Amino acid sequence: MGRYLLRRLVQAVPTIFGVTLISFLLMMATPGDPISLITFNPDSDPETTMMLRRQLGLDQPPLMQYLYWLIGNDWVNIDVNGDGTGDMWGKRQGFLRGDLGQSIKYKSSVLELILQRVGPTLQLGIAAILVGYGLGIPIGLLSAVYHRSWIDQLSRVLSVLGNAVPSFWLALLLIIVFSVNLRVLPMSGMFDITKNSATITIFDTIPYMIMPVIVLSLGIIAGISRFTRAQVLEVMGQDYVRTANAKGLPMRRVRWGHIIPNALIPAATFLGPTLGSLLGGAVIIEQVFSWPGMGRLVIDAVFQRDYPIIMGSVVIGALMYILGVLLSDTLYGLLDPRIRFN
Amino acid sequence: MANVKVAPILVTQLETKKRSPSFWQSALRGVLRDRLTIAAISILVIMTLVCVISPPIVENVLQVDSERTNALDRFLLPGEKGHILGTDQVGRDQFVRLLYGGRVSLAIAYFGSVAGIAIGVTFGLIAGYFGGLIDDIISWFINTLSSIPAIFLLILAAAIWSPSPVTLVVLLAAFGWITTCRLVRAEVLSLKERDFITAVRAMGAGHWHIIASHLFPNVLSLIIVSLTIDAGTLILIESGLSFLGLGVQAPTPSWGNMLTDARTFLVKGVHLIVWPGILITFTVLCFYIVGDGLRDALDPRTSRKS
Repeated sequence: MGRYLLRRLVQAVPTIFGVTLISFLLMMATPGDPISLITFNPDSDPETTMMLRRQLGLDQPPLMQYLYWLIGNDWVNIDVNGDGTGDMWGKRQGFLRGDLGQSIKYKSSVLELILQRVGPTLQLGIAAILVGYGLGIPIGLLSAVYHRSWIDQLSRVLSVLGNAVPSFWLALLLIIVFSVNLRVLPMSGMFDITKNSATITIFDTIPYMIMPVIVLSLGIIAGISRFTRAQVLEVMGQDYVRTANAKGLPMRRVRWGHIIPNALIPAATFLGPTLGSLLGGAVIIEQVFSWPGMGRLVIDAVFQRDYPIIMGSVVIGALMYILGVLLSDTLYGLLDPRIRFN
Repeated sequence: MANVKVAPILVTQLETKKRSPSFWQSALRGVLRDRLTIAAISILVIMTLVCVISPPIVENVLQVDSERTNALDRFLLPGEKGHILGTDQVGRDQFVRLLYGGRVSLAIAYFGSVAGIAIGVTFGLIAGYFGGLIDDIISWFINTLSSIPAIFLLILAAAIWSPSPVTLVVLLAAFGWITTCRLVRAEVLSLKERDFITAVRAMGAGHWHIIASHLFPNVLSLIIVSLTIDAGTLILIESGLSFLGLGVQAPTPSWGNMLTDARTFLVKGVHLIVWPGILITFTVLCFYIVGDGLRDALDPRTSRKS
């Protein structure tokens, strides 16, 4: 198992490298640079601007800038005033040492900003996964066991519908029904802002979570119930199930002892991609419900052209996805020895 | 003489014997039997035709305008002053805007999915067939792109190249080819080991001939299914992006950007929120149903199972 994990980790390295490269190239493709945003004033002194550019390494060719972003520039003696001699050492640590640079708007560390926002996003995401798996698996099992019955038909229709509904629209409808008309659920935010924020616990946020979690989990329910259904039907056709039936095992024991465990194991592989799609889905849902998570950070950064934040979020988002896939594959390997030894 | 007598009998026997239907014939028969799929296809065709042809006609017949704002007629309810579905927050007729929006949303979905599939199929065929270093590079690229949540890439790219419908098609295609590429690559990997490919190669066929005449027809059914599913997904993605204000820009309507300001009229404009969403859901649903139906019809394995 350790070996398998190690191999997977090594395989992830080129992917992570690729992610940083792609996000850097996208940053490079943007018109203007961070400086033009800081010194938007037309009266700004060109001399000072040039010094600032040198200080931030923006005068360097793209390859050097990427290197600075990746490994930092504290090994470079920067020639700030352009007289050919170094004036100050660089301060950046680089991505590989956990430094994602500084936000232009907030003037603070990108990593800190992201870490502040990851919590709420994960809170929604994990709740949505729990609800999604908790409802999706039973629905999938039921519709496979009662194959071709009305339960099966209904769950199939619902799962296609669950994938076809735009999440933000469903969110708006829920807000109209439960917040505007029935007034039973809060419309947006994460907690009652009139309360003292020091006394807020996770339980205070539950009413605020209900609608976002419903919307986010719908896609998971749809996906996982379909997947479970297909798996169960697949397993039901296997030789060992026929053997179990042939030796006279009662149907209940065949179901719970042979079919369901074997059908559920592959559901573990669903976890990684689900995590990734949750991060993506959160971008829109957090916007609708004003939920202070990573998605909103990214959207705000996009509108304010705060590129370090965007690039940092893309990389962190991808890292979370890669870790999620790794985690779910490991889980799969643990549960099913056939995967591990292949 | 004996030979001459026997031969005509053999020929007539061959002619009267019914030929077994080809793959595509039986697939077509399968689709025609599937009433749900036929209904969904018809709805999509009608919807597309209506959105392409009718908006100017409807504007003339109903004497309404999709672009001119009218401060006095804001938030009219459906049916008021001849506005079938009411008016929006600046007094434009919602019904006509939905028709024009459908034009934009459907066009983006059709062109985006075709372009994305074209890229995906090309790379998938190349990666699967040639293998080796080419496959490694393409696979690395696929893995990298797919590990970044697509919406992150899209909003980033949309922020850089502030999108018109055309750039949006390019962006959606540029990030939307991965799934197809994966599927095609996997299929080609198993196909190229099969005997008929070995036989063709032994007869001296070139690489491109094998790819174009022997591999491509065998992944065609997969391509058709991907195309329909992708078109549905692109409508969802486009509407999400436009909703965030990063997709189709005002005043051009799309089903997504008609909901951009929805949060500001949750009370007065419920009818403005309901309709675009219903159209999106319904259209995507039709695409998915068609995709599922085609998959069942085109894949002999699934059609028997479920």
